[in-house]
Amino acid sequence: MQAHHAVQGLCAVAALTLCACAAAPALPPHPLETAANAIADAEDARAADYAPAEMRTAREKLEAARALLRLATPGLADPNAAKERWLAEEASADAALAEARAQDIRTQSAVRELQAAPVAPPPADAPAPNGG
Amino acid sequence: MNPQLQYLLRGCAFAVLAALAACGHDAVRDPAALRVRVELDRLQADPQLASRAPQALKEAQEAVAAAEVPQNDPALSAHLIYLADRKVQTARSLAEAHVAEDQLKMLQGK
Repeated sequence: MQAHHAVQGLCAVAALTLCACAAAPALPPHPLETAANAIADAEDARAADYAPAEMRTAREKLEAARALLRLATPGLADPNAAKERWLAEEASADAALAEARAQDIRTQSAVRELQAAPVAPPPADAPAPNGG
Repeated sequence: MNPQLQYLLRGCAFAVLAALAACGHDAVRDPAALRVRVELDRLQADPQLASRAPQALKEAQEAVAAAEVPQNDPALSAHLIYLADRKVQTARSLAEAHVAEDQLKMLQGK
């Protein structure tokens, strides 16, 4: 009987733990992390080849935000927290713009190439257009 | 003076002042925020692009609305305007890229 109660108790604890886990809100990613991911995505899309200025600005701003974070004293409120967040948000926006520009420029140049390509000649066994 | 007339005149004066204040608010709107708004309006009015990048356009609209809210901190204001400008440009580039993708598919005969 005691064992029965113990099992019931354990089940209740397990159920409560699961509920607590499910109810815990997921923390939003830190803006620095978001910016680093946005820059990595843009690099994967070779955005630096098409929008180098935006990519350079994005990297510089992320680095500046990281430098400010390094100045913070552990355990104390960070006086530069807002500046760090702004820099990281701007770095994300720069990287997203670079990636979008790269996609735009790449696709438009593919369109131009196809439009400029000479029309393929007809197959050798096709009848001549003038019939003679 | 007739007290009723006095009240009426006061009411009119208040209404005129309120209207002038409302006009003044537009007049002193940050020119950079105004420029971003104009860019967003141009994108939304473009029949070829307006519907091509809906998520990016929504983010641009939200960013422009945030940039238009007057701020006490000029640095915050500049930050919000920068974000809005970048998001409007991103929405335009994505929309143009989607139009070009459609052209590419057509040229490739897909």
